[in-house]
Amino acid sequence: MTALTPAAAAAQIQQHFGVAPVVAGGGLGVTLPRERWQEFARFAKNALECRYFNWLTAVDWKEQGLEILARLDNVEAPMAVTMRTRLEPGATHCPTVTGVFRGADWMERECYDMFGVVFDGHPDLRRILLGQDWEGHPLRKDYAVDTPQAPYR
Amino acid sequence: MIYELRTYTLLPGKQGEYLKFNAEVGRKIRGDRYGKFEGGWTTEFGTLNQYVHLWSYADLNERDRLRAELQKNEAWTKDYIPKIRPLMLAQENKFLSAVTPFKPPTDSGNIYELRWYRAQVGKLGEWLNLAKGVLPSREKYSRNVGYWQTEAGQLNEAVHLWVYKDLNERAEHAGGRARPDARVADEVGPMADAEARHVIEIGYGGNERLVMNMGPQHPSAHGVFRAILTLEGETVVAVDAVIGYLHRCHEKLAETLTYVQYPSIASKTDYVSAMTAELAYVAAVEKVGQIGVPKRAQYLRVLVAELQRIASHCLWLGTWCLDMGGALGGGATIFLYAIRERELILDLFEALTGARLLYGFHQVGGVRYDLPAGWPERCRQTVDLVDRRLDEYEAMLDDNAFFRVRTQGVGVISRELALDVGVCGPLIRGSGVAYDVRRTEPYSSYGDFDFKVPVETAGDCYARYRVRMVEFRESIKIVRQVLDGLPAGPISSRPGVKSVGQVRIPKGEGYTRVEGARGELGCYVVADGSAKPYRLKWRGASFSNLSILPHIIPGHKVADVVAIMGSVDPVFGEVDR
Repeated sequence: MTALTPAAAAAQIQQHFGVAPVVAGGGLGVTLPRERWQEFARFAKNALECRYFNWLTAVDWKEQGLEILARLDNVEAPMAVTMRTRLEPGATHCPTVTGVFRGADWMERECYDMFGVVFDGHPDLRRILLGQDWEGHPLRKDYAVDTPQAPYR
Repeated sequence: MIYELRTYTLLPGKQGEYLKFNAEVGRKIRGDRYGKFEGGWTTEFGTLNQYVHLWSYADLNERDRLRAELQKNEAWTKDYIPKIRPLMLAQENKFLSAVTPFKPPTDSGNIYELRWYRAQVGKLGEWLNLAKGVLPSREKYSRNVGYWQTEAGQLNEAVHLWVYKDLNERAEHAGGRARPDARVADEVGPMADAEARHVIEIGYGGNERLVMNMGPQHPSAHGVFRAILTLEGETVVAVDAVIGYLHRCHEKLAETLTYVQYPSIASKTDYVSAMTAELAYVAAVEKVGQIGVPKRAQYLRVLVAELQRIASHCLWLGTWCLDMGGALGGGATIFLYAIRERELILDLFEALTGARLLYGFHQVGGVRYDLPAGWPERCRQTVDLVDRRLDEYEAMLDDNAFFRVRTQGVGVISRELALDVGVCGPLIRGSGVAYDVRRTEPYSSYGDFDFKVPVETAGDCYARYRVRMVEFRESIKIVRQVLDGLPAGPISSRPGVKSVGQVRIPKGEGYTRVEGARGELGCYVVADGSAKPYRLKWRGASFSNLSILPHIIPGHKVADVVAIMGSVDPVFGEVDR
């Protein structure tokens, strides 16, 4: 079996999803509509053999909404795909990829905890790093560093 | 709709055989073609060795017709019936009509309670009306599967089935105990006889479950970690990992500190391997800002990263063996030996940076300190000594029968699971994946050095031990190569940074990773042109590694949890960040 090159992977993505990936430093960046998030994760795992779930996170672009990113690696090639999707301003719902990668479980919980992104279909979406009674999502840009907290009792 | 509740009493010791035969042969022949199979249970209390099963038919005529058809099915009469008859002692049957809709639970692993009450003649309707009346209140406490009344044989009986998560839940809620709104009024007194039996779903082993907290102050956690273990006897059947006790919101902190200030904070993510944690941050910033690093600085970075790996693995080996206890030559033996060697490395770091744990050695564009006089010789002596001592450790552990029993076949991670969850470092290499960032995506001149990436295929604790023992030696090999080939020149491309806001990174983003002692450690940086990052994501190796626990712990004994935890080598500063 020949290892998949980033260029060949980019062509496959273009063909199936109609978006041109950005090639940068051994990795591809693919921006997707939210509806195709899960479909792409499955495609990357099966067709592109990116079976290694590296990480998932979000970036708060303030009035331009939240962006969700996940990096998947093909450890044999080696090659990586960073899949991204932009939620419209104010939106917090994104489909889960826990059904595709088991590693997404904790990563999505952390993203929910820190950004308030609700991953629809996640089997156990609880806060993971902060207490269950914490208010707010600290990595949002509108969450001030000096936000007062009730004293711990 | 008519329900048929059959109870088969099996010969003692034959239940397993009957259930196997029933599942593999009987159920396949019948399917739902000869009446709908609603559920099957085995008794765990009262009369044992009973198999209770519930069928539904449109009406009694339909049942007669389907039973007649079943008798014509040769597979049934020839292949199945003659085989199961010798296993049975008695058969019993009840025809029921439903009083409330039948609501089978969708989840598994429950305990069921089947009760039947015999009412005084003429009083059953009255009692059922009362029972239906309090059902909405009852259901707040315990889930009802259905209420039926008998239609043949022994009349005036109310049959009801309840479902509970476990016996503890039942003890708390059964019968609407101590809840007046959920009790059928006592004064009716229509009951002549009541018989209850617990029925437990097939597949559930049958011991009472115990929930036990391990942590957050458990010594084997190597930090603050709480595992909520559900036990059946000594066996763990479920684990909920609770983390976050050491959370300091590093990522928010990074947004408030400049590129010059943050490296010394970065060392506090993985404080057992601070050199590589700092390196991950500065490497990410340098990549986004396209800042070059002089060759000498690159070599020095490799040097300290490999020494750090040795020190970190020493701590892992010592504490892991300490956790596994007395079987390993007194428990603390290896711990004291390994910590002794770690001290020597920390002495080297102290001579180099003035600090023993959190160094602030790396900075954007290079490193902060050059090697002091005499340091290379001291370093060589130290690694030579560690190299010899490693032989002693291996002599104590490799063929130690106790050690092997505690580690071999324990906590097996399959290759597929390792990739799916995204574990890294010695864990993924112990599961047969040759994945090492130093080799996959060489950084900081790693391409110049000759070293092996050890891979084991067993995926168990012992495999992870072997991987780390080889890594010790490979790190020593790299340290010697660095000392041999250390080029002259500057140690930073931006010397003399005086102001904390002096380093500005142009707009851009990127993910950069290094191979820390625990695996892939990376930073995703989004820069907006200012002196602070817009967003920083830490990809902590320990976070991903620890998330494997719920997948591999169930099925092991409590003592194995300690061995598995130690083989994962988590550092909670990096898990919680």
